[in-house]
Amino acid sequence: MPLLVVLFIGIFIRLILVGNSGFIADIAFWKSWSLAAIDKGIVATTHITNINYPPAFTYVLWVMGKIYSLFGDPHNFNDFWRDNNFGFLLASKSIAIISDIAIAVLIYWFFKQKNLLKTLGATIPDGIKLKIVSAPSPIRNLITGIRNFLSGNLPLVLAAVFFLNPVVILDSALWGQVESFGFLFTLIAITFLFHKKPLAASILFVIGTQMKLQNIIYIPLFYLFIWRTYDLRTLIKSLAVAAVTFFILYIPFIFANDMGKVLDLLTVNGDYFPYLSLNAHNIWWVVSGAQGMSVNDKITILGIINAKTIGLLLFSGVYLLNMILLYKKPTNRNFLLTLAVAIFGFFLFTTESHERYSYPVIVLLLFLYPFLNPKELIQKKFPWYFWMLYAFLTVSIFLNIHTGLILNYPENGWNLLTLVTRYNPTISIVNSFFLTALFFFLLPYVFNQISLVWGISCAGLLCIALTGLNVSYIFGTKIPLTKFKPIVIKQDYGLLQTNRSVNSFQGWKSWGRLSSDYFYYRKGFGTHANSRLVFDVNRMFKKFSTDYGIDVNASTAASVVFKIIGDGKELFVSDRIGRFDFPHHIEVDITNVKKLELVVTDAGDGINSDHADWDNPMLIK
Amino acid sequence: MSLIMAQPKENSSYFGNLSSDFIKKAVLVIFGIIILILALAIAYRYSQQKTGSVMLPGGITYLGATKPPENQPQTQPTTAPKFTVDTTIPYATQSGKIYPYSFPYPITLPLVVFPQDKTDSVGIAWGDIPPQQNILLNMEFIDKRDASAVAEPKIEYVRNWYSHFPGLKGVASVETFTNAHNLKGYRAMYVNTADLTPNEDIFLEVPSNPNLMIHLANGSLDDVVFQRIVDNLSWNPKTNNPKNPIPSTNPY
Repeated sequence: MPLLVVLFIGIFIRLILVGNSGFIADIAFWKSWSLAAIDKGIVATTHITNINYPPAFTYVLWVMGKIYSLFGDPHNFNDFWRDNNFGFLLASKSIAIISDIAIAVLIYWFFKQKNLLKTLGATIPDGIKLKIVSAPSPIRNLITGIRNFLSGNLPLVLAAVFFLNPVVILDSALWGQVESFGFLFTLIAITFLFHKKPLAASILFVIGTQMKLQNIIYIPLFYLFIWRTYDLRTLIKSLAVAAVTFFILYIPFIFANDMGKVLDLLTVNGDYFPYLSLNAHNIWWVVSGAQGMSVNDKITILGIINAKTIGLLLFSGVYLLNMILLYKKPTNRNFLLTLAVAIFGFFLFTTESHERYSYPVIVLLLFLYPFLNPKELIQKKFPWYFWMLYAFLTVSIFLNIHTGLILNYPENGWNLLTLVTRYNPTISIVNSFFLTALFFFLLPYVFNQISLVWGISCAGLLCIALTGLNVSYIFGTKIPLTKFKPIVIKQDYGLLQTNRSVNSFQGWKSWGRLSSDYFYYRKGFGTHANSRLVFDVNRMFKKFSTDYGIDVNASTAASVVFKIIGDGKELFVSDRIGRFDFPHHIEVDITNVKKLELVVTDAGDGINSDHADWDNPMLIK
Repeated sequence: MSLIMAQPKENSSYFGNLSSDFIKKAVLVIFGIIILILALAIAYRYSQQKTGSVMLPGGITYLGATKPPENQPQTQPTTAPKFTVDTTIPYATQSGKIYPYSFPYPITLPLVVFPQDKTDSVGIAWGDIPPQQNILLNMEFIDKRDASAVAEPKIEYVRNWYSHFPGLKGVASVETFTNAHNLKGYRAMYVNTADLTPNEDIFLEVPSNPNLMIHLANGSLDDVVFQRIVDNLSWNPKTNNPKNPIPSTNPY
């Protein structure tokens, strides 16, 4: 009965919020994709829309479209596409709201199984300990009453903390996102593992990764845990089951001979939004000065390494520490802890991170709590530590997600909070520092399991990797420009190719070496007029030298002009170059230049056939 | 006898309790459902308080089959159809989501805007042309096309505008005019690569902002409708919704 009351209150709040248009862009995309799914089918949707979710999510979109069809006609243009289309808001948000309910029930049900929990090493400790200070007896009685209630009803408390958590409500009922839907599968998989059903767990886990791609972060930890808890044989069986599940999910694509599209959609997000931070209040938000969505993550940060690479290395360090912990002590507690720390590390340290990527931390920590041994030093000495950390995380993550929403749709946030936070970048920067600090406050739970030496070793490996990637810069005098990734890429035809001619963008059958009038080059850029490439060389070089010419793939109509620009100042302009010109060479002074631009224009006669190569471009110290 | 009589009494009390318990629960459930329906009704009312805009997703994606409104007359057919309206059709006002422009349009003209669109464009969802390719109005950022043109007379920018589009090869004419709201404008005809001048492009200067111009294209609009929109377009920063101020380069 108390659970029903919690569910009732939570559902009531969510239903009230359903009418808010939420994150309008996300919902507009789902309208398009779900309409395509019901009109044209699962496979076609991935071709005729600009979907960038895992292809299996199209099944959910199909359901969304079908639910909407109960309320209205999706082909009624003016009704369907209106941003306050209540039917679609209800249809799309209901997926997340139902998932919220399912997770709350799962938490309650799982932690009700006292006998199972004992075998898993979980204890049902006292709830939040409320200290009775000298107070009049009615207040003392009330506090005692609350304490007794919390102590005796931990499953209910955990379910309520989740279901009434403002982060969860904001994400599903206000924003309209499906974090809870994707994560539900991972949580069910975890409970299957705890029930000694690794194969069933593996099935659910794979489905989760194909519903919300961030779940792939857990793959190594998940299977390491299976291996260490069971044996190698079980691991292999679980992986086999996972592979079969994956292919079953994509049967329509297999029959359509279109698995290439599946691969494409599973990898398309690699550089989809190449910015430091997609409104995530993390270290990159601080680096960008609260301009995370305006700064390209290929900016050079350390030596010749760009921000994206550094972010991936930092995250790898955190992940390695988690793997070591789980390998050495594969307990259920550590499994849940490493999942939480890994996703939190992913959110904080990688570039291109969204504000919502921290969401699972809120759920995983609730699962972790009963597995913390009350005799652990932290729990014993500071019984309030966990809940204080949890409360701070909730507030901080809520503030972050809310800011992400109101930056785009201020009218859809909570007015007072919007008023305070929208024009105040300082708050977001302080919040970024705070979230980063909270990450380190989680680490005592790691280092009371393994020695701090392991942490120092991971940090040491990180330093070695950072130095290793800079070796050519430290010891060499010439660095190929191809070691840098452009922070701006613009060209009027095809896609920029590194160490290949521009036509290679059509696929491996069209791959070709860079060649200007049959002089072949191993390194360089194949591009097409009108083209502009900007590199952040960070004032580290004195000279820039390169060959340039028309690629042999071009027809005789080709003619271009090459330009080199340093921090907005023109350093070199070539003559008009034609198809049968030999490659030319140029060396320019780039002392103190931060942004180096390579420009190719169409020489004033249109871009027809203007395949242009920057051959062997070198930065000289 | 008394025992026999007692039995049904006990049963009756048992069922009585059961039934009263059931009734209590049923009342609670019904009450709960009513409250939730009420919540849904409040949410519905809240969503309908806003006028609501037709909001299309960015990029090229599926929008379903777009049908022209049923009461919409279409011109016949030897050339591309033009959107026309009867003189009795009332006009409504469309305002920018980001910039403080507004203009009248016939209520039968299906206008759409795009989420997170920095150019604050207004598209037309009519006929077989996707709205993304049938833009009625967009903000022109001069520095994005040619930074050196910001300080030059705007007519030069308009004369050279075609050079940013591979499908255009020259300018046929540029005329200056002032609309009913005192916005200085330029009416341009550009020559496409097929040596035709099918469209009319209008550029209106933005008061006190040399980097901005309002660009309108007639596209599939009948000339009468288009000229009425152009002539009545106004720019009034004071009436701009304070929640949607003119954005700076800072995303805050």
